[in-house]
Amino acid sequence: MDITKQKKSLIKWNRKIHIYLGLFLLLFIWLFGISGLLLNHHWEFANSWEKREVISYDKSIEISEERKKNILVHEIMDKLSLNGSIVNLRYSSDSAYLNFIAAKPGLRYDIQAGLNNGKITIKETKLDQWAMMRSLHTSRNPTVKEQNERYPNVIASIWSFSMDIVSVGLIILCLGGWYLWLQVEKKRFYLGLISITGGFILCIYVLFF
Amino acid sequence: GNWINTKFWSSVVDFSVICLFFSSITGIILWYYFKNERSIGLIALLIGFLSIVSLVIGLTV
Repeated sequence: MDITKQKKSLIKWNRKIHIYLGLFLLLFIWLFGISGLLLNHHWEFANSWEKREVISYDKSIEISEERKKNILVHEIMDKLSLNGSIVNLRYSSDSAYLNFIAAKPGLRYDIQAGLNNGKITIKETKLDQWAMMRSLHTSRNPTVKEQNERYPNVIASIWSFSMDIVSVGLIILCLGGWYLWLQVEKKRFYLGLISITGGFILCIYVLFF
Repeated sequence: GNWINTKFWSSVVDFSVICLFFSSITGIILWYYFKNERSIGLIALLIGFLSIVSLVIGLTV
């Protein structure tokens, strides 16, 4: 295969990858963009914390003699039929209570579990869709230390992994688009060169000054 | 923030997001004119849509 055919094949496949990857990632990119805008601005209509709904209630469950907190929290969550990422898992100073927060995008449970009597106090805080979007933007994989303290959440891990895919996908889209730009006619090439140089200078300024 | 560089960065981020939306919309328009890529492109779009919807539902329900 000579170089011209190879080059044409490369352009053709690069364009296909650019199109299909871009279409696959379209909604992810829009979600990323909208949630980025929400994080960047404190708009009144998206002031989720002011509009939160809070309800408190008690439940009673049977709690086993298990006292390893990572296993105990698993047991409590199952018996309460709750799910979410667990954070801030700790015993009270007298070890009579296990306190933790179970959170998922737009919803948070502050839980105090009485280990002696099985009485669970739950404060449920419900936030709106804007808070959910902000949370999706910042959701990440736990650190190694956090992994030992957290209840594993498979869906959250999958979401975190999908964000990695979106990030890598965006880089591939940029590189593929860059290559497609290199194939265009001279006039459009120079306009693109001005654009890419301007963006590059702006980025360097932000990073280093 | 109350520092000029933070405000500047905030504006840069806004501009980047607007460009991202603009690029995606013009990209869809360009894709429309590639008749050969429509079918597979629609499948890719549908798979992406189903992926994100199922993930978001899985996370919030």
